[in-house]
Amino acid sequence: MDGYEVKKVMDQIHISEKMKEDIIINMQNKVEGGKKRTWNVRRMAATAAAFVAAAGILSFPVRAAVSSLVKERMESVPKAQMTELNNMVQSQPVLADGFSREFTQKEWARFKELHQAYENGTFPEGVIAQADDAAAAPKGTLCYIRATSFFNLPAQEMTDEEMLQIIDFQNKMAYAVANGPQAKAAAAEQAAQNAQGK
Amino acid sequence: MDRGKDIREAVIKYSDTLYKVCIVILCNEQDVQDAIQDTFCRYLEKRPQFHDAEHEKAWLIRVATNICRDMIRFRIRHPKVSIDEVENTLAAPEQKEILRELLELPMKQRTVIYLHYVEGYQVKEIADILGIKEGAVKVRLMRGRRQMRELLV
Repeated sequence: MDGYEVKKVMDQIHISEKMKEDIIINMQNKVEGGKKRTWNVRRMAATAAAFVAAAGILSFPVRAAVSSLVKERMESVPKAQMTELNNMVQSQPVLADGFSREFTQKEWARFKELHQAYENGTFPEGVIAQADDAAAAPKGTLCYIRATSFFNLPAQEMTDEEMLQIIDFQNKMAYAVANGPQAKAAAAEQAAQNAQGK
Repeated sequence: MDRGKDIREAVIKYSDTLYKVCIVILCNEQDVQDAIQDTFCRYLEKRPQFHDAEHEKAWLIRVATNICRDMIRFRIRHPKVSIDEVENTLAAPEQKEILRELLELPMKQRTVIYLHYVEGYQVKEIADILGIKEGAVKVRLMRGRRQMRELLV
């Protein structure tokens, strides 16, 4: 195999006009200061299905449903807090969480173990510290920056409690978004498309 | 400075390249759109000064690869869906086979293979984009080439 055959193959692959146009619209909304966030319809439906939300979108493969222990924990969070979390995520300019540094290999291995432990009911004792923006965030300790969806990690290796706080917070954000009004609208749109046999 | 016009022009100019980079790393079209969008969000936020178009493109590719890497590690991702639609743009069966083999390589190797053979970057440039040593680039390139040769035999 000649490596340049890879180039010939990749030169035939292009972004669709629809995806390009969606990105342009979303970026122009952001420039104009619009708070509305256009979610990828299928992503929202997938997230909702992962939490076994009421959307009923099960027409494509989904990851294993969240454990009943985690679901119970999410449902015990006050509704006002979930609404606030959803509103926060909707107003953020990015769609992916950022981290102030890479995880070490040891942290990464432990993080994966703790993800599993979390599903089995091992929850953090406390909640993650939050700050509105980077300027307000305390230095050197774990903190979530709300404006940019950014996790400030401590310089030293994280403890199990700190990692569980991250996992717990990410689950709460995902649950809040999956059950928010935007997700329900997206799921309804997906259901309509499925009904049309798309 | 018309930021709306600037960002529109940047998306039109670079989204195709970023699409290819991200599809090679993520192998999932739904995640790819998120990754490209986040890349342009950072572009808007950081507003770096570029020497030229090549510098701008390399910066965007670097940001996109970092975002893709973080998505693989930390986010609840989409379930792995087939990339039939991407494959279907290829006419010849042997080309589909090449794409499949490329996407089955470990992420680190296929990223380097893509940047070298498709974007034409040399070892030092790839090391700068990915934030790794030149030796690591060479190892990943060598392993990727060897594995693709074995897979296609």
